Amino acid sequence: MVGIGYRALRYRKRGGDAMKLIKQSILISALAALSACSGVPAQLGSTTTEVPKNVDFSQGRPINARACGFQLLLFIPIAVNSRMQNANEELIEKARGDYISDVKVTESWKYAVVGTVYCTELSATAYPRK
Amino acid sequence: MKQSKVLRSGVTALSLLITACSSMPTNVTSTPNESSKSLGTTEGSACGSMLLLGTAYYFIPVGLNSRVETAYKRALEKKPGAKSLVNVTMQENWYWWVLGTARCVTVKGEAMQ
Repeated sequence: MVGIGYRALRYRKRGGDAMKLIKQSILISALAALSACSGVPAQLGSTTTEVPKNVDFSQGRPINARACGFQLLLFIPIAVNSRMQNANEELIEKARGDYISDVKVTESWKYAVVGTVYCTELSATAYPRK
Repeated sequence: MKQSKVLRSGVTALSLLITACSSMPTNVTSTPNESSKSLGTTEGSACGSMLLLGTAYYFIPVGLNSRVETAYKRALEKKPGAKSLVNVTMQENWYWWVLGTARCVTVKGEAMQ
């Protein structure tokens, strides 16, 4: 704060506006606080450490799901943080209760001038229950 | 004049090549088999960044397309003898560091021999 005040004073001496400098500092701090984020963790595939006995592994079918998000102006996330969860929910829905295994993750991105589109694609094998 | 046109076309073609990209599919979960044995919980992380060209436009990927694969490999490396993971949870964090945006992937799971 002392540093900002001192800089503000010097800024005024040079003919600047101290209030403008304080406003800019607040804006930069707010942007910095907003510009980091954690995605929602997604549990991929069925949860088991043993070979499931009630699954027919001879009847696997491929399933896949995709979800995208947009990072507007580099630090404004729109559905970016939830895309893994969204793709996983779609995958579970497509499995219709079957055992999900061999989940493959493909991440892609596309430049969109005012931001970047990020997509997550999940492909897996769904095995029916006996 | 002609040289400048060729240079401009080259730059445009290069920009188009690097402005969209996809990672290779990474298999993060497998079906445990009869002989597989749990080695305990493990975790691996990897980050990549989208670097700048100008102040407002970032589209140079550095380690971005391989971050899932690297995180998975690091998780396996932490448990010697591990061949695959089950009960996998994946999470991505990102932060803006002025010169670019970094995206980090964490893969957590149970390592299987």
